[in-house]
Amino acid sequence: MIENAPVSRVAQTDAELLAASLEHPESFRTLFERHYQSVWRFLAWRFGGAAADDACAETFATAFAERGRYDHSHADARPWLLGIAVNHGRRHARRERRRLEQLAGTVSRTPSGPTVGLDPRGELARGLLALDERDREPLLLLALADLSYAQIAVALGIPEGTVRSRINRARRQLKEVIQK
Amino acid sequence: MNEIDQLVRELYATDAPPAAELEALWTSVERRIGAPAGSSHIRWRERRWRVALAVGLAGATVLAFLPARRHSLGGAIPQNASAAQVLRILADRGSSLPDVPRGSFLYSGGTRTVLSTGPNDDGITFHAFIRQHWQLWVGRDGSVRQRVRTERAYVGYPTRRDRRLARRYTEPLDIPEDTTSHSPATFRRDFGMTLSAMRRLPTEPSALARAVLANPYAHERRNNNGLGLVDDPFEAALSILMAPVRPATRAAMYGALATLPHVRRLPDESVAGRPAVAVALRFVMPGARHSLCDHVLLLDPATGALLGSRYVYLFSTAGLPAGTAINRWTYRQAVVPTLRSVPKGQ
Repeated sequence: MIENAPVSRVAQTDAELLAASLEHPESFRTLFERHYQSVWRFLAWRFGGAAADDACAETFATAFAERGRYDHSHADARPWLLGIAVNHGRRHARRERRRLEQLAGTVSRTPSGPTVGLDPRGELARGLLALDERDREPLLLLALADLSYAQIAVALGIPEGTVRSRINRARRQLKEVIQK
Repeated sequence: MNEIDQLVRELYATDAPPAAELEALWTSVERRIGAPAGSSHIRWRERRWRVALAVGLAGATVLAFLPARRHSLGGAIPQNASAAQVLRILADRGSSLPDVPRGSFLYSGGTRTVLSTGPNDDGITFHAFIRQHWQLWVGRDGSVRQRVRTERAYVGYPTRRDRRLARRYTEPLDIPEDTTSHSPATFRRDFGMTLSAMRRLPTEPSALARAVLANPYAHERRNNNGLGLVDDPFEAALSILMAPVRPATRAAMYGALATLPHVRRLPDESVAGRPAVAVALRFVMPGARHSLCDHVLLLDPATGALLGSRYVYLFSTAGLPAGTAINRWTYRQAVVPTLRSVPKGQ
């Protein structure tokens, strides 16, 4: 418990909600309502709706269990939640791989794509499949969850500089694949 | 987001499933939590605990009430006075603050030292105490401004291991937060009632206790916005004391706290060199075993001014022994002319 008195209830940051939820577990529902769409969408886009339901519920259950360990200097809990989601999503990595393989195989090469008259999605899917997981995760948190570099660093528990270099490497590899 | 990121996003959004169903997903979360957050199970356990406590202490309430009425007003607070007697004496002495005129603001500010927990740069969780300087302005027009600044360095560590791990945490701590609201709806959400309703609160202690302390955070339950599964009347009282209520209401709040059966007195102490009388309320925090916690208020014995508060965990946590104060607040209050005015010395 970190907060008390009206100050915490005036602000109602995620950090304060999590602190309050130690004492008042009902507070956690507010946090859930605030972020479930974002977490679910990140998971659903990657693993499909059914797996997202499961992983999203696991994510918030884990967050509830671990809320006592939350770093209250981070007012926004979304990076932390998405970091948990990434971990739970690993169980569904096979689904993501299947989905990418499907996209890589079936997307037609039509001139409607934005890159040099070639639909790049097939190549892009193949490129994503070829990426090292350590490079792909930061890129997906940026592209799908709209996290900043600093937030990705919080989510994955790595330094921000490492996030930048991994994302740059992933972008470079994907660009090379698309432009081949 | 550059072109590659956008393409990745579009790729993943292909055939994206429809949006999640909130209630179904929440039910799924609750099933996994086991003892669901906000479920009727916890509420029932709490009701049972409260009923048992109320029955057990009913006699003590009567005994505590009678001698308090015999206490003479205006003198020093006797060392052997009970918490209820102390609170009634302070209530009878009146508010330490004048009424807040229209166009003015009640300023509350001080420091809070809290236990912070999180991963360092290597992803290893550690605990450390941080000190924050907090300020709250609440106007007669319902405006609320809150400002919090965290000190650059940690002020303590539960263990040597935490100290070592903290060296590998490089994000800045001292990022200030400053928010202002002029919305009556926000005021009502945060303080539980409109300011005009607050200004109309009764000044008879029992009636005030029924209005504010009997069902703290009922509004939050109604609004379903969390906060308030455990009834902590001290926190509900602090909400009122931080707002520009009438002086008679402010004084009566101590009388209302005196009507609570389970408030007890702790040995006197000092806050920033000022003597303070301490009263405590013990409650159980749900969600953890053996999770007894004391909420302690520190009051100026001469004026009744709120000087400090703290939460003390009566169980071991983060390598800290049971009985450790997990957070400590200091308070200073004054009436100020603007939303940015700060009393001298703050």
